[in-house]
Amino acid sequence: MRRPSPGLTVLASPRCSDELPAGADVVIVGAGIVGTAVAARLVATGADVCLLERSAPAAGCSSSGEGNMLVSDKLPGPELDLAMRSLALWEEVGSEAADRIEFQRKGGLVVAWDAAQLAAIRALGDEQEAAGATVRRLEGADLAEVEPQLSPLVAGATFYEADCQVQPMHAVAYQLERAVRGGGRIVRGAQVRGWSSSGSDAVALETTRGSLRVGTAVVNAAGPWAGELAERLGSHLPVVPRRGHVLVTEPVSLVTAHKVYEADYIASVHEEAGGWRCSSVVEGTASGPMLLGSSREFVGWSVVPDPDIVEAIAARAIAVFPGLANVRLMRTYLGFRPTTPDRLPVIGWDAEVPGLLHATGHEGGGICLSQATAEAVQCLLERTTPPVSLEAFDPARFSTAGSCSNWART
Amino acid sequence: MTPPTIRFSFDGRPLQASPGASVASALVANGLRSWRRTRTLGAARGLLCGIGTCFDCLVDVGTQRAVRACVTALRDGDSVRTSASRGSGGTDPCPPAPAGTAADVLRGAVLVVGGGPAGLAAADAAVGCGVSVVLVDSAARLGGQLLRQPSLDATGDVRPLSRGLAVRYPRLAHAPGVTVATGTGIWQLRAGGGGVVGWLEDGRRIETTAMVLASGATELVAPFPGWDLPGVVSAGAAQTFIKAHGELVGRRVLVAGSGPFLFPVAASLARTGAKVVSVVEALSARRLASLAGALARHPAKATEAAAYVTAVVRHGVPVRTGRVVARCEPGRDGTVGKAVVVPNREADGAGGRQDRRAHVYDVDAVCTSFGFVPRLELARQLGLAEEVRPGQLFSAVACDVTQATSVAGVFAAGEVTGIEGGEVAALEGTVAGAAAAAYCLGRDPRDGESGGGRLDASRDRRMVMARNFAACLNRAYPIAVPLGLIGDETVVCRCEDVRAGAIRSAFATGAASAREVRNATRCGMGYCQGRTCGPLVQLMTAASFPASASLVGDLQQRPVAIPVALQAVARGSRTIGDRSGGTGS
Repeated sequence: MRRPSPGLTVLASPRCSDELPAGADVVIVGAGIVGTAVAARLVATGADVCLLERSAPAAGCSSSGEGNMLVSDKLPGPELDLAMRSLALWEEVGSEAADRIEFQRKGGLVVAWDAAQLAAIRALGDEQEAAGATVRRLEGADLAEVEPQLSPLVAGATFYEADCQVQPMHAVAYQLERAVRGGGRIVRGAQVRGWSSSGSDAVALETTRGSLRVGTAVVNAAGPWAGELAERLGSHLPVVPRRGHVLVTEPVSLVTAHKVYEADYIASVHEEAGGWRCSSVVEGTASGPMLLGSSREFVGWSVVPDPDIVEAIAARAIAVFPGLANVRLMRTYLGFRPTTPDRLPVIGWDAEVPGLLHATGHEGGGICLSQATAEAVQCLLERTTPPVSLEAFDPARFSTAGSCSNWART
Repeated sequence: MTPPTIRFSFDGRPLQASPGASVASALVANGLRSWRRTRTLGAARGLLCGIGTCFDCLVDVGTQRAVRACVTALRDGDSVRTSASRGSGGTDPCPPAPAGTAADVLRGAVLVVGGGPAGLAAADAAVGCGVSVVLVDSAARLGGQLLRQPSLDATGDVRPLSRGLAVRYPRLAHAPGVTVATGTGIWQLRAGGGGVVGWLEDGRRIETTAMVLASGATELVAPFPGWDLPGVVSAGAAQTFIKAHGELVGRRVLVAGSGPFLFPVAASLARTGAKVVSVVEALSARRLASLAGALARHPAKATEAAAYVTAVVRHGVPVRTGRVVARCEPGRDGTVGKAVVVPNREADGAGGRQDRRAHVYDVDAVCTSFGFVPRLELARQLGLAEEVRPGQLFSAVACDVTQATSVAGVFAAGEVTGIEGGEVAALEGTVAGAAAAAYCLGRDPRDGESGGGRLDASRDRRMVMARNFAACLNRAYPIAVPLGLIGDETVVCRCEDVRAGAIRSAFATGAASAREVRNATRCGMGYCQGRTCGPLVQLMTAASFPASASLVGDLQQRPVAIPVALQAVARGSRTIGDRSGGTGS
């Protein structure tokens, strides 16, 4: 792991500390959007927090998505409730730090190609409205006014004004800075190997940088590696990576002010077919380039982009916005979503291992759900009742036999 | 018969250009140095690398926005306009679709990527072994940089293989089974046990059994305050302008930087009529003196070197060693007007009795180069193993004696395997081409029969000699970028206008790799995707974190090797116009 040159005193400041402390009350594993959100929230309550990161902040899933925070793609129920709570918390963060984290309330548009799809998204919209979301139904001239460059073949759409976007790496950096300023420590280059078997009464973690004592809890915020971490800590958690591609274009003049995606996106999140699925997601960024998604597949950790998927994403984007035909693709990147068998996050104490608290499994919704997850973790640690029920996210649901068999992919 | 003068307009002004001009050479010939405003700072930009790698020279031509002026041929009637550094899209009129269709597949036994000395030799050798070849180069004509050809022959011929190269490589000109694709680049490449597939910018695909990667190198242009003024270009850009278009990048030119390449460029400029005010070499005279022994052992190289030095001396060009350009200042029109040259404090031997004065030169162009860096975009897509060759600083593709890489069926030759010059490149190309042919024919590449056994011994001797000289050259000219000259206000990432201060702040707040620098500052996220700034950021990172000093630059991961229109990417997709989402397995 890289160490700063000893002569550069500017790097001796605590914010880049490489020193592993002897112990901490709460140890958080993973400095992504969730881990840093938890750290920032806990230090504000005066907790003694140490954040362990084996690589660099936001090096995993948090830097490989699009920074979306959506109500639109959440099924009514615990997921939608958590998303709406989390968005309300993001609005608070956004009002303090909008420029720094590029927080935008851009709105999301879900487009349908035919009558059947249109009926489906409207029905979903009805259910989401019943849970408190604001949904507009658009077609014809209204739709053209909201989204002028949309393909004329689109039959109709639903629009969610509460969908937001943020620059996720800046958001992680902002949360990390708040955590460090509040007295939290971050140790880079520390990978957790397991529990320390020193034989003393104290509970300690063994890491690649040494061991540290743990007071109250270890928070598993390791994203797609959360399953591996759980194994090392003597538990089992069916969180596996679900790969996605994002295409990045050259900077262009405005094509869309919103996040626009196809109706079958939600199905692509929840279905279990083998192979890969692509469902178009199109949006612009503050700096000019457009981000085009999306794909889902279980291919382990393969880091070679799939040419067929790149082709499909490009084709679907042009279908939604014909004006994109001559826009140039600049690069593609891959991300690995932390995914559970039922596509719901895992937030709660481990069923078997004392002191282990999971905050992971957010699939493609981690940026959005990070705030409410951090709030939930605080409540769990303080033994107070969280605003959103965590029952559906309980890790114990995977401890029952046979519950994780129907989705594993080789 | 020579085609007539080209008539075109720039921002509405009617202008003329010589036949064969690129948009860039036409604009420069008409006294224009900038034709673009950057997106972030609105800074004026024009030519930089001259060979299509840096994306600094973006210009709008007709319905095409933000195309590289240096590689875009100028056509009669073209409406050229200042670019706002944005692509077409949205409500812009859509340019015509790329020419190729999904059905256009170029097939052959061996794909040769790059038509420079290494690629030409590889293609020639493969054809000589009796296999079919697909030869691709993104420039309009074959030749690469070292063998850069005029953009059109004296007869007006613009075909890929110039008359001069056809004489040199008659097999490529006349043998059947040679498919040449120029003016289009490969944006995606895959190879493995099952063969090679390449995707071209124009929408066509390539399918072969084996390949030779000869993608060459890019120039290392080091920043200094004012390096982003229009008129400051790479040494290679000056050379390319002369060879391809017979044009000068300026009339009063300073040639500065480090490396043997400064001399041929200065000589070309002087012979073509420019006033070369000085050649400024960053390394000390003592370092260069170590070359004397090497030159004595390689008479042909000594003769070549003497010719450059003679030309420089004959034209009265002063040569200054141990000096660097501290800054450039704008002239009245905002393009480069002055260059300030100072002793190089970071050079060994810069002390003592050295003349410590600053020299100020009036110039209208500065040509700068600090050496070369292998172009590894496609190598990284293929997952080829890399190494840092002894005496070199940057990573290159690792090969064995048959030029085989770590991936079966993929061979590599030339500067992409290490900076060793044109002679080594051509020799490696011959070996690689023969080895790729042998692979296709199911023979062992080490079997001398495949490559023409009788020639092997003499070629091996020449290879040893050439490599030996290259090693001496690399030892005498280590990469010598004076990082201390880069002020906090100096732009490092030209595409996104990211200044050195922002990069240093990123280091101070925890960034410890080029990737983290990119995520924190957007450095490397622009059109060139880190091709220009990547080596610089690597050097800055290594200076701040010496223990990590790995210059296998992670800013150069490149799933997309060059920008490519989405409709060319989507070409062949079953789902165009289809209302269902894409699926596959």
